[in-house]
Amino acid sequence: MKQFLTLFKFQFRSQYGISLLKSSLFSEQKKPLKVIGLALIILVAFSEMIGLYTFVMWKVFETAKTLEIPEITLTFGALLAGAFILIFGTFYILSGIFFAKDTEFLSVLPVKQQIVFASKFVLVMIGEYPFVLAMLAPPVLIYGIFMNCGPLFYLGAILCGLILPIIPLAIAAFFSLLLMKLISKLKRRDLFVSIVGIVAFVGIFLANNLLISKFTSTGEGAIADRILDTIRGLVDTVGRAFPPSIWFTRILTANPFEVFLNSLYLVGASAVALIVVLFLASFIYQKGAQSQLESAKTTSKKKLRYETSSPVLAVFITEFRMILRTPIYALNSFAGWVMGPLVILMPTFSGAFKDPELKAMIETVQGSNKALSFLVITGLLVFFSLVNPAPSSSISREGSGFWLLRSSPILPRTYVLGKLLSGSLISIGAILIAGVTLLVVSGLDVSIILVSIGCALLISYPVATAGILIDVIRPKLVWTNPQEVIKQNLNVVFAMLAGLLIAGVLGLAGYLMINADLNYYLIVSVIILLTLFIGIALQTILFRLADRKFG
Amino acid sequence: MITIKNVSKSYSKGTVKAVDDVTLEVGNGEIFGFLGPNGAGKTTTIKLIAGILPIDSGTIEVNGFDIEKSQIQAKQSIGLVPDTNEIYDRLTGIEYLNFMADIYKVGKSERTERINKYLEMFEIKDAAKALIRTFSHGMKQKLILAGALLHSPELWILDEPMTGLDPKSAHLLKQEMRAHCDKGYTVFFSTHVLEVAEKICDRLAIIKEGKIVAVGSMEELRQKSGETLENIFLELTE
Repeated sequence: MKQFLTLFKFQFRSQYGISLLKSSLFSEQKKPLKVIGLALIILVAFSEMIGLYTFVMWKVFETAKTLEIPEITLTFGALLAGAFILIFGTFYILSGIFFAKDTEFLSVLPVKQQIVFASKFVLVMIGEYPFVLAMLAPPVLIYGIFMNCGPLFYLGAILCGLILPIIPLAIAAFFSLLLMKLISKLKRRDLFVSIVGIVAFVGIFLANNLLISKFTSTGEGAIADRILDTIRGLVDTVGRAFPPSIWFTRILTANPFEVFLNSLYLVGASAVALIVVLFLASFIYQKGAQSQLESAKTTSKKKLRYETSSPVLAVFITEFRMILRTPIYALNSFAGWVMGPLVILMPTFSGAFKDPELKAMIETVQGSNKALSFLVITGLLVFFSLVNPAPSSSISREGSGFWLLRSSPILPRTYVLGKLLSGSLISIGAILIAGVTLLVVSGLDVSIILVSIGCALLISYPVATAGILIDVIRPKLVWTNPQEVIKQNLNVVFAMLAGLLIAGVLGLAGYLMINADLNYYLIVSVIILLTLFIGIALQTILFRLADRKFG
Repeated sequence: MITIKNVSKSYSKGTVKAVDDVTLEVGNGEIFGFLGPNGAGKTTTIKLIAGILPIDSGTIEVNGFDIEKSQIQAKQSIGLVPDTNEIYDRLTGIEYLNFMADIYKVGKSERTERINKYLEMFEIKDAAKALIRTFSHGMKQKLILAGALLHSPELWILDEPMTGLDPKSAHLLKQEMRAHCDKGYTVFFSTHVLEVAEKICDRLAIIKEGKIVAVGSMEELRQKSGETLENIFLELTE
C-alpha cells in the first residue's frame, strides 16, 4: 500500500503539474493572477456546454415528472457518464498506461507490476472525475432541488459518483490490456492501434445511432414526449447492459432496503471489476508496456533517399509524418475525417432524408432561401475542421525536442507556417470528405453544396490559424505522454472555442444579411471577404507573435 | 568566432541568476572547453549562444553576427548538439538527416556526400532506415552529431557530447573535433570529463554559480592554480 501511495503521489504531481502550479503560484511574481485568470477562462468556456447539458436534463426531468418517473433523469445522467468514461477512458488508458514516457523508468523500479498499473489506473480515474462531475451534477441538482431531497441524497450522490467510474474504466482497461498483449508481437504496432481506434470509434458511433434510431418514437406527440420515449427505451436497454446506472438511481431514490442492496451491488461489482483487471495486469501489463520500448530491427532493403525540400515543406512533411505515425495524434487529428461521413450518413440510414416532411422542408428552404441553406451547410462542414486538434497542439507536441527548431536558422514564422499548412491539410481533408458525402447522399442542391465546400475550406484557414496562435501564446511543452498534449491540452479546447467564435461571427453576419434581404451571391461574397480579412489579420498576428516569442 | 559581452540570464523573474555578467572570447580554429559543476550555468550559456533562450542583458556575437539581431545568419553558422537527445523519434534516421539538411539548406550533392560520410563514420548507416525510437541512446547521440555537422558549421557547439558514446565513437568524435578546428572552424563544448578537456582543448573556461572563475590555456591555468586540471577545477569550484 505504501509503495502504491508513493508511486501514485509521484505520478500525480508529475502529470497534473502540482509542483509546477505551486511554483507558479507562490514563487513567481504576477503568476498567481495569470493562473487565476486562466481558471476563470476555463470556467466560462465550459459553462456554456454545461449550461446546454443542464437545459436538456431539465427538459427530461420536466417531462419525466409529469409521467411520474422523475428518477429517469438520474439514470440517464449516470448512463451518459458511464458511456463517456468508457469511450474516452480507453484512449486515456492506452496512452497513460502503455504509451507513456515513464514506462522505462517505472519498469526498473522494484515494485510489483500490478501496483504500477493500479497507480496509473487511479491516476486516469482522477482525470475522469471532472467529467463525471459535469455529467452527474446537473441531473442530481435538478432532481434534488425539485424533489426536495435532503442532505443524505447529496452525500449518496457524491459517494456514488466517486465509485461510478470504476466499472467502465475497468472494462476499458481490460480491453486495453488484451489489445496490448495481442499486438506486443506485431511489427507495425502503431498502425494497428490507429486502425483499431478508428474501427472502435466508427463502431461506437454506429451502435449509438442504431440504439437511438431503434428507440426513437415515430408517434405524433410533442417533441419532448418523443425525446422521453427515446430516453426510456435507451435507459431500459442500456441500463440492463450498464446496471450501475440503475443501481445509482435506486441508491438515491429507493427505500432503505433497496438502498442497502443496490449499494452492495455497486460496491461489490466495482470491487470485482477492479480485482479482475488488477489480476490480469499482474501478468500481462508489463509485457505489453515494455513491448512499446522494444526495438524492431529493420530488414528494409531500400536504398537511403536524399530528398530535398524547402524549410517550410520540410517542417510540413515532418509534422505530417509525426502525426500519422503517433497513434494518439492520428486518432484525434483524423477524427473529423470519419466523423463527417458518419454524421451525414446517419440520417440517410435512418431514412430521414426520405422523410416527406423533412424533404418538403428542405426543398422549401432551398427554394426560398438559398443563402440560409448555404450558411447551414457551410457551418456543418466547418464543424468537422473545428474538431481537429493538430494546429492547436503543434508547438506543444514538440515538447522537449523544441530545441531543434529554436536553434535552427529559420524564422519562427517559417516553421509555424509549415505546421499551419500541415494542420490545415487535415482540416481540408475532413471538409472535402464530408462535403463529397453530402453531395452523394443528401440530394441537396449541388451548386449550394459546392459553394459551401469552397467557403468551408476557406474558413478552415483562419480556424487553424487561431488554433496555432493559441498554442504559440502558451505552448504546453512539458508532458510525459502524448495524450496530455492532445487530449488534456487546454489549448485544444480554447482553439475550438476560438473556431466557434469565428464561425459564429461569420454566421451572424450571414444571418443579418439574410434578414436584410440581400442577394445570395452578395452574401456569399461578403462571407468570403470577411473570412479573408479574418484570415489575413490572424496570420499577421500569428507570424509577428511567433517571431517575437521564439526568435 | 564567439564574442560574449556582459551577458546575464535569470530565471523565475530574476530570483535565480543562471548566468551572471559573463564575458568571453573564443577565436577561430579553437577547441574551447567549458567546465563547471552541475547547475553552474553551462547549459544556459550554451542555449544563449545558440539562440534558444533570450538574453536578459549583454550581447553575443557568433561569426560576427549578433545572435538576437541577426539570428538567422548567426544560427546558420552553428551546429548544435544539446545535452538532450529528444528528437523526432517517429522519423527514420535518414528522414531526420534530410530534415536537418533542408532546414540548413544543404544542397543535394553535399548532403548525399556528408550524410554518407557521417553515417559510415559513426557506423549507423544500416540503422538509418529505422525509426529513431528504436535507436539506443548512443545511436541517437551519433545521429544528432551527424545532423549538426551536415551544413559544415563554422561553430560546432556540443553540450556533454561524450554521454552515451562507446569508446570508439568517443575517439572518433574527438578526432572529428580536431579535424573541424584544423579547417579554421571552432568547437565549443561542455564536459565533465576533465581528462578529455585536458587532452583536446586549446583553451578552457570554468564557470561557477553563473560567473566565469577562470579562463585560459592549460598552461595559463596551471600557472595560476595547480598541476592537473582536476586540482584546478576543484580549487576553483569549491
